[in-house]
Amino acid sequence: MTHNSTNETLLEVNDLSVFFHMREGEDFFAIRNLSLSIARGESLGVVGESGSGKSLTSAAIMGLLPANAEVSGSIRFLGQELIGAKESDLRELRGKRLAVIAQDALTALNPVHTVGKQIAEAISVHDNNLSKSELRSRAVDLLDLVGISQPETRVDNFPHEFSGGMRQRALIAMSVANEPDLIIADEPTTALDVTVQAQILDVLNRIQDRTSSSLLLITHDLGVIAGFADRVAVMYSGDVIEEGGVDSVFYETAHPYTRGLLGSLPRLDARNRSEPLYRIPGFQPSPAQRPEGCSFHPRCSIAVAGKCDTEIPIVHRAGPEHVARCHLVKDQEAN
Amino acid sequence: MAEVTAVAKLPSNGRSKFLQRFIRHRLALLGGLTLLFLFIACFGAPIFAPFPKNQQDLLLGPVPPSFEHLLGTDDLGRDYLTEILYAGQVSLLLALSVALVSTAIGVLVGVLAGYKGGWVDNLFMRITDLFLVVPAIALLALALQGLGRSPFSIVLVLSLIGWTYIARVVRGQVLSLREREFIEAARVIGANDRQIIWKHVLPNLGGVIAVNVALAVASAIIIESTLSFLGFGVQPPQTSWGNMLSQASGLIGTSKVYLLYFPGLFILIAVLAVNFVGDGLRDALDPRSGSGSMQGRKRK
Amino acid sequence: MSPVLEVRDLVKEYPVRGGLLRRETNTVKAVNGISLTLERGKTLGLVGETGCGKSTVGRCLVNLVTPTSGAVLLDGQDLSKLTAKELRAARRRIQLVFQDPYASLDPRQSIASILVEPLQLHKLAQGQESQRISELAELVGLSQSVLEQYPHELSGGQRQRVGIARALALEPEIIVLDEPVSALDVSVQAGVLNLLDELQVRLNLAYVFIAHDLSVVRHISHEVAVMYLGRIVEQVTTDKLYENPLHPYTKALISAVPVPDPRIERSRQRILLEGDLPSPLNLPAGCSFKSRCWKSTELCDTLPSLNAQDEHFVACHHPEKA
Repeated sequence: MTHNSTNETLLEVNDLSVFFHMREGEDFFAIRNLSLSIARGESLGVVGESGSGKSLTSAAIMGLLPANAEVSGSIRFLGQELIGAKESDLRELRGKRLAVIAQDALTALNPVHTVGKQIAEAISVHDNNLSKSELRSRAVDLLDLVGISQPETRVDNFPHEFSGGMRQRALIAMSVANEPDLIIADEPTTALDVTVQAQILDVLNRIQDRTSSSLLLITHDLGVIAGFADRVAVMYSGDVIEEGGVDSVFYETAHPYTRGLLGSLPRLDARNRSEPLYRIPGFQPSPAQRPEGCSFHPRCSIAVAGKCDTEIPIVHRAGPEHVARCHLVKDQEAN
Repeated sequence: MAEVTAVAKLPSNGRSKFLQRFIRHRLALLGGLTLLFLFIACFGAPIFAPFPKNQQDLLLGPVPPSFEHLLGTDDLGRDYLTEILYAGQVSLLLALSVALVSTAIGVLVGVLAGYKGGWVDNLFMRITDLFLVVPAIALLALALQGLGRSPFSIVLVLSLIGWTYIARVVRGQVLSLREREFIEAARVIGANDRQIIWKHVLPNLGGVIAVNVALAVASAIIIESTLSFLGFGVQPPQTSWGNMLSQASGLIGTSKVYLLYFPGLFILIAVLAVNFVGDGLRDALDPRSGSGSMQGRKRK
Repeated sequence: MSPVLEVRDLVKEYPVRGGLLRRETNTVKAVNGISLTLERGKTLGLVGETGCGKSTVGRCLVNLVTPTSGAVLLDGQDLSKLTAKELRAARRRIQLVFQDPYASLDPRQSIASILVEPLQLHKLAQGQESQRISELAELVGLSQSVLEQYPHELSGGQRQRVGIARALALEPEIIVLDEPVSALDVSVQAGVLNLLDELQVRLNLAYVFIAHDLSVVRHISHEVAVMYLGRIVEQVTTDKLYENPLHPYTKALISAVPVPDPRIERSRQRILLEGDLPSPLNLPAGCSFKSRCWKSTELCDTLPSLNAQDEHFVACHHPEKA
């Protein structure tokens, strides 16, 4: 679903590494040399299984890593370097230019304040020239935008009076209140039923169409990515191992892990019990115990001994705007 | 941050990890060693005590601490260190018995109330409420007045009062354990209540129980001392730290005030040591404590 | 062929207490009159969204929850009419695998001890327990070294295999699988699903597969029943359900599931349901889906019955054309 995306790069992450100092055990790279970019108006899906580092990536972009994490590399947002930026500058960005939609809507909303008050607060933190009634009418507009019926009365409800899907909508309303340039949505629909997920994704779509915000969608669901993202980055054990437009990644899959992942999914449109699912042997190593060489090689059916188990693969060009971190991908001519 | 916890290394072996955590807790280790030392000294008193028990030396009378009598002697010229070690046998044994008996009652009641729920739970919890509102010391004094003041009745009465705390804690734990899926899983494979309690509930209460025994020992030492000090506890000629304290209480302001200090010091040391052990046990039995914690470290 | 499991008019009500005296003020019907049959060696998928009652049905089947009314028949034998001893024996034949493989394994027991427990409880393989648990481990694809480990030392997939092995220990004919793969990552999920397939063929097991993931259900079930607010709204063989859903709710549900295929996704029409699930405390009279249905008419104020045409059951006054 291509929105009004332009070629202007909004966010550029280069060689980002996150290093953890552990009190016990060995220090390790939770994220290693990760590069990403998002153009204005574009949706980038980041997909990976639990422990692949996808949520940590969003925490790094937001500047919200735990204290024992050491970050290196570069995160440029609207031309401004975020790594090493002053906390006050980051605070100014967060919530205004850069917004996050949390996964758990129940804990992300304060139970003792009305939904309207919390939306108003999200606005007034960055713009305190608005009167109380202006804030309220903005909150009503936002609730309407995210598809909550009767927003004039709903605005005075408390979070517990909302259903799960409505709370998630309210959170979206809060995060888009200041028309951010980039919305980071970390598993925004994981806790929801499919029919509600469809509603929420529809809301995100409409907001993107209206505001031309970019979206960084973090999920474990390749189906959501296929329907929603323009480009996709596949993460494995702290690395982006494949990145490109959704069509190229889904149809001209370059990395064996991505291929395995796609093959292991039961599909809604596949006939009953047509054939066994592909099973990737073993399980994803935690970044603390990443194997030598390519971190996927112990599970890879085509790994080459002496190469994949010793050398960390570099990024190869698998096609136009499509890269993969695999020794077995042949570089394509850039066009 | 789920990603971060997933990364923390898992313990390779539950038991050795438990020991590691306990030993790392320096105060607990210190407390444990102190306690061990006290036990050996008191119960090995026939071997370690510098003089035989009750050996009077009326000619000597009370003397202050000296090289020969490390803690001095009392009015009857008995070596005070010897007396304290023998008295410690009574105090420690009483405390340990009270802790074990009250924990046993408390665990039984707590497990039944928490697991069965309904009227059983209501009945037991109202009883424990009752104990909470009655002033314990007065009740103890009354009960001991009636039952006599033998060590046996002291253990009985102290246990009958002490079980309520652990019963509440255990009940709370069982209430949450009961809802856990592995208990349901046991039911699905055909285990009955008794089998579930023995195999799945009690082992998961191990930590709570161990910690409680330690803390109950500490509080029993103090309560026994208080009672003995007030004259309701261990009766002379039998001695305990508490009634030694009581007998010496008239000496405040005299030169023999050291007779008051030493039993008090032993009580203090024993209680502190047991408390440290309790803290250590609690931390060591909590798998989330210690290793791999992401908190509390600032970036260099 | 006679069904191995039959459920007749199953109802489970929960009391709702309120007020100062905690008197029973209302009841919630978590399961509201459900009938099912299951053939030996087959899989029945039970799908629906949060709160539809599918897990309660599963729990009634293994007697973790006592039904308010209705009957569960095992080979024609009504479970509620059995003596305690007979029930214990009957339980062996129908086992449950839980959703959360971590929560359903006792953290203080080694895997060997977890697997030996059902054998001891039912005095099976006496004297050869250790041999039997090795067999079980092998059957579910676990290495022997796992037996000495504790649940927290295993990966999610390994834990779920332990859960399956524990259920298999009693040599059941039916296994109720309550969201068995929803806590697992996709690459691990595939292995567990394949294992379930293999075991079914090898041991002629019948499965009741409870899940919210319609893709997984299509893959594994022979027949699927769709639940909405405590009732079955549609039931038919799997491919028929997915290719030609008759109930508007089923249609909306299927349309909402994303497919990992960008081109197909771009061409798909989503049916977005209005509003939220009505509170089970306050169900609308008649068809419980009418408040969200785009086809509802006055007719929907009466409860539609589950009628069949060519073995395709649907409870709707305005079904799609077959």
